[in-house]
This record gives sequence, structure tokens and C-alpha cells, in this order.
Amino acid sequence: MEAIPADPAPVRSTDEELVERHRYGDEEAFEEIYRRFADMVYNLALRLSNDPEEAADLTQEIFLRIYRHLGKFRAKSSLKTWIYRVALNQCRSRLGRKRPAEPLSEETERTLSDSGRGPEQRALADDAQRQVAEALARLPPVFAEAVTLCDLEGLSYQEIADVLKVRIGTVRSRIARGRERLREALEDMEPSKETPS
Amino acid sequence: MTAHADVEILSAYLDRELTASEAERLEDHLRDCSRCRNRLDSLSSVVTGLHRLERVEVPSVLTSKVRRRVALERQDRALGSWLDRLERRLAGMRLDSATFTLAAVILALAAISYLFIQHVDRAERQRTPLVVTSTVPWTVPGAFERRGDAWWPSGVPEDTPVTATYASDAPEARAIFDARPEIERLVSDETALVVRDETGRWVRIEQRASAPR
Repeated sequence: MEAIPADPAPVRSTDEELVERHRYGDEEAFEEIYRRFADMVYNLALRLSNDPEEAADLTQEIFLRIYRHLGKFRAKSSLKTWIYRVALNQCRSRLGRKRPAEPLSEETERTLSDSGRGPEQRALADDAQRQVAEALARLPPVFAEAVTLCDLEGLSYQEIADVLKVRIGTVRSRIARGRERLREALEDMEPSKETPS
Repeated sequence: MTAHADVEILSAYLDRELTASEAERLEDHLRDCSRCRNRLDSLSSVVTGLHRLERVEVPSVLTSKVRRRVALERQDRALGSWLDRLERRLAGMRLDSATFTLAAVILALAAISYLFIQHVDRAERQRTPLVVTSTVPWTVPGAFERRGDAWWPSGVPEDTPVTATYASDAPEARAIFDARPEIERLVSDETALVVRDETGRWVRIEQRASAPR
């Protein structure tokens, strides 16, 4: 009896293929782009704003801009780099008009970080995370962006340079100065305690 | 390497972004410089604190909102595209105020003509019986149909008996035509007319060569 070949596994489209499909009106292509990059965009907006509601609004605006302009994407950079740029531009535009980020409430921070540890440990960790998140959002945007892309998004210096369209030396400088300012801010928050480790 | 390591060098060292020779020089310096080691440790603590910021899952309600806004955008685009095509078409016609005025006048004339024709037609139909040439009887008030050599009112069964025949100039026929002047025209040399008289009987009226109109 002849063996029946199994159905081939679905082929995952590359980012460029998704863009091409979107250009030709494939609605599912944009849906897939959203699935791939929503987490990245939302967390970037969240860390730069330190405000879940603001981050949600920003994410909507960012994806709307992506939808509108994706047809113009020419693959001179990767899609990921392009989306980072769109996201950062939108964050700068919106957050630049607002007052410095308010610290998150304890409840909100607890909601954001459920680590499954014991209550006392969790409280200490939440407090430390809250301070770091607040200090990060209060950094000048040029430093906050560089530090976020490096330490939270895991991009290399070259990738960050591509996103920000600056030289690697500039990236190195911004990251270093951003971390230095964070260190000073965290020391100011808890002058009697050591920097959380 | 300067007396103490620059914060950029220390920071880049944490990220493994120094060249091999730069890293080697720094490591040589750190062996002998506690101040730089402490600065490096401080920076490392900051990076560790950042790494502990947990990644947050995208709220499902946010995903729904994004999908809804994209769907609206898609609808707007479709409408916008249609309006753009209409605009281009109108632009190609080089419309101006004179053209619009002319178009309005033509439309008004067409409307008036239509109403006039409707009025004339209604008046004409009131004078002229509706003649149906089909042999299939159907019920329309005032409608007649041709059966053989005579006009019969539509809907009248074919086996209806005709009780009398009159010449078109006979008094009985004149009485019928006086009451319904519009049916007199149906009587001709080729065709007779079958109608009810004032008593309800079915009678046939024929054209006579000598009968005056």
C-alpha cells in the first residue's frame, strides 16, 4: 500500500515576504506582522512611558502608522529596524509633549511583574523594579532609548546604530551616559541603600 | 588607557563591544585599579536591575483595539480610493459653473417634459380605451382584446352569448356610445365591438357602410 505523504509543515513567511503580501492586499500578512512585533512595540512603549495606558495608546498609534506606511517600506533595513524607528518616532512625538512619567502605583507594578516568589521577596523585587522603571522613564529620551534598546531589547550596538541612524560611537556614548545617570538616580532614590543587584 | 577607565569603555566592556585589544588593556588596568572595578560593579548592578524588568504580555483588549482600528483604516482607504477616482473623472470633464448651469437646465427641461407627457398620456388614456392585442384575457378596467373579428372586454368568458347585433348608427348603439364615447373608435369595417347595453345584455355593434360617424 502506497504511503500517503504527510502534509508539509506550513512555511513561515519571511518579514520581507509579509511586506510584499501586504502590498498586494493580503490582510493576513499584516495580522502576522502584528503577531510578530506587538510584544516588542508594546514593551518598548511601556518602558519609555512607564505607563500601561499610555503604552497601549502608543501601540495602537504605532501599528496604525505601520499599516499606513508599510507599502513604502523598501527593505533598505530589516523590517524589525524599520518598526523600531516608527515606534521610537511615535514615542518621541507623544511623550515629548507630556510631563515626566509618573511613578507606577504599587498595584500596577505588581500586576506587571508576577514572579511567583514569596510575598516579602516579591515586595522587595517589585519595589526595586518600580524604581528602575521610574528612573528609566525619567531619563532624557536619547539616553532612555539607547539603554532600552540595549538592555531590554537586547540589540547590539550596530543594530542600535541602524535603528537610531547614528554612529556606533554615539550609541556607545549614549548607553554609557544613560547607565551612569540611572545609577545616580537610583542612588538618589535610596540613598541609604546600595544599588539593587 | 588613561589613568582611569572612561565610563564608555567600562560600559562597552559589559556589553562585549570592545575589540579584543581594548578588552585586554582594560582587564590589565582593572587588576590594579579598585576605583575602576567599583565603577564597573556599579554599572553592572544597573544593567542587572534593568534585566530584571520583566517583559509584559500584550493585553488582549489592546490587540482587539488595534485590529478594529486597522479595519476602519481599511474601510476609509476603500472609500477614499473610490472618491479619488470620482474626483479624477469629474476633473477630466473640466466642469465649471456654466456646465453645471447647463446641466441643471437640461435636467429641469427633462423633468417638465416628463410631467407634461404624463399629463397628456393620462388625458389620452381617459379618451382612448386600452387595447390589448393578446388573445389571453386579463382583467384591466377599460381594456379590450381582439377575438376573431370583434373587440371584447378583457376577462369576459369566450362562450358568453351575444343576444343582439346592431349597426353602429342604430339608436341602441348610439345610446351605448353616448355613455362611453371612447369605445366608438373600436368599431371599424374590419372589427365589431361586443359590450353590455344599458339592460346588461351583451350586444354586438358592427360598422355599416352607410352608417355615419
